[in-house]
Amino acid sequence: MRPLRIGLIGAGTIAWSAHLPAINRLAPKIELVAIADVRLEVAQRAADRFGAEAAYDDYQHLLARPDIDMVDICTPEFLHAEQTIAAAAAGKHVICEKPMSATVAEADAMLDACRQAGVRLMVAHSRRFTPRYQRIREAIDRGAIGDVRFVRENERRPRSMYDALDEPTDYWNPRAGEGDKRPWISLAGFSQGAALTNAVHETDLIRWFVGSEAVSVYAESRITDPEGEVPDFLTCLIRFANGAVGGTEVVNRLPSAYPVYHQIEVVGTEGVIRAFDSEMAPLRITRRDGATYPANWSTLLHIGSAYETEIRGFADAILTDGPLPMEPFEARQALALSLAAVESSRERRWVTPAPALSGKGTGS
Amino acid sequence: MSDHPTNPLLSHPVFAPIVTEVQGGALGQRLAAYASGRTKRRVGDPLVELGAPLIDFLIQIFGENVVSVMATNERVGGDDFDAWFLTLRFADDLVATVDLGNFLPDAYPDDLELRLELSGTDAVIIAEPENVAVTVIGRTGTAQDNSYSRSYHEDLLQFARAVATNEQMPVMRVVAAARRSAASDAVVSVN
Repeated sequence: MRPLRIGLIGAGTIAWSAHLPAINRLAPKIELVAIADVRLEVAQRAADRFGAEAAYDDYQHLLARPDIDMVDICTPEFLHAEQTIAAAAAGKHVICEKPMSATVAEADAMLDACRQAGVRLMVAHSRRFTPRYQRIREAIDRGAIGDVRFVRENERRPRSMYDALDEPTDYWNPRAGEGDKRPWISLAGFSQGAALTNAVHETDLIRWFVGSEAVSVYAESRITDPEGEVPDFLTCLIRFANGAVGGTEVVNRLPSAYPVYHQIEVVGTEGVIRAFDSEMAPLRITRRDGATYPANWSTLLHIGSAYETEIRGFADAILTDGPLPMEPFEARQALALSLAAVESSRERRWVTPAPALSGKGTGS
Repeated sequence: MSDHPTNPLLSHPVFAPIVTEVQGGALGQRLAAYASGRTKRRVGDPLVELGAPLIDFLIQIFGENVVSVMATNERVGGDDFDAWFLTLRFADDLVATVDLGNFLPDAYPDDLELRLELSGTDAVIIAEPENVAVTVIGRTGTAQDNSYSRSYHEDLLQFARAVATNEQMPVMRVVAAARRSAASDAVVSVN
């Protein structure tokens, strides 16, 4: 079987830290062919580092290559719909970083475009491929705790999380030339803040574990960063059609040395599943000025294996014409939940997530 | 406040140091507060029995009153309404997320489980008083014994009973607002 030939669009943070290393590890099943980024020099550095033969500053040039089977879209969410629809029109299968898009209408357009073009689409919700969450879902499926009635998944991030990146992140910032180094993810013109940056993971996990559709969402948010334009804090409650309840609280400005961590509890009619990263730091270094947890981000969530598993699963679905490990409709629903949280936090009332208009997408 | 019952959490060996830390400014800018209280107890209202001591504790350590509440009363463990989920906004804009429930399964190692997590720009404070146990991993599996840890459930219940009829206590105004919020499905201001 010949390898799947892949082109990656958007050589930013998530590409360097997760997707490109995972693609390299999946050789020879997957062969990295080309990388496109609006910053040609960054695309070229990524191509050199990860072994792609070509670098482009226009993703259309990458899509025009007939020798590329699938694209991995790692750009900001406001570009996902345009690029996915273009890739589908070019006959490329698409794996797209979460969140699926900036709006539900865009997500529906992505589903329609890929369905009509007969290409496969999957959104890279890495938590679905993280061993701890897979074990939790397996326990639920085998009835270990009865019917799921309540899920809480909280996430904590230190504000230093993005400080150590090698590549500049201010490309989209219109004031970058004036020394403003904030990335697009912090700017109101490009991002909705915590609800989409990371809480879309939580809304997806909660819905996945509950196994029902949400009927209403209530959320409150805050911009705690004096220089912030979008919320860095979100707390959200979700009511599901089956009567279950979900809750998530995301705090993204913790002290710089604090470990990224997650707290999850799934309460069922016959038991409880819980996993608290704060109790299970695999590496703790305590110095005179405090403790650090340098391995939490990479080991607790098993990020490397999660991205490898998700890309391998998508590739296998293409190669065997088999089922996708995660249907794109699932990502559409998680997006709808997170956007309902954004609306709720603005209006301070319960909000019904956008209904699916065209039934469940199949990912073709 | 002197005629009000004393919250037992203020003298609890795990929670008492939090008072000093928070009031001394250890958190830096306050970002968020998360509190949960769960029991196996199948009677009583967790909003009062668990919520009153936890929310009162938050009000006292922050020195701020709650100005608005969104609350929902749900069935988690069975057919009865046994859980409350609250979002509290304090006067300084801090938002506290509070989960309360009488839904711990019978097999759970603890009769009562409280958890408090205070997030700030300079520090994070996590209190888990039930995180005390001897774990024995033997031929037949894993057994956990925390029977020696100090039980304070009855202290909390006594406090809850004492404040339940005191409508002027700040925490009971929050409780009343939570009931109005759950009944109306709307954000309610605390009078």
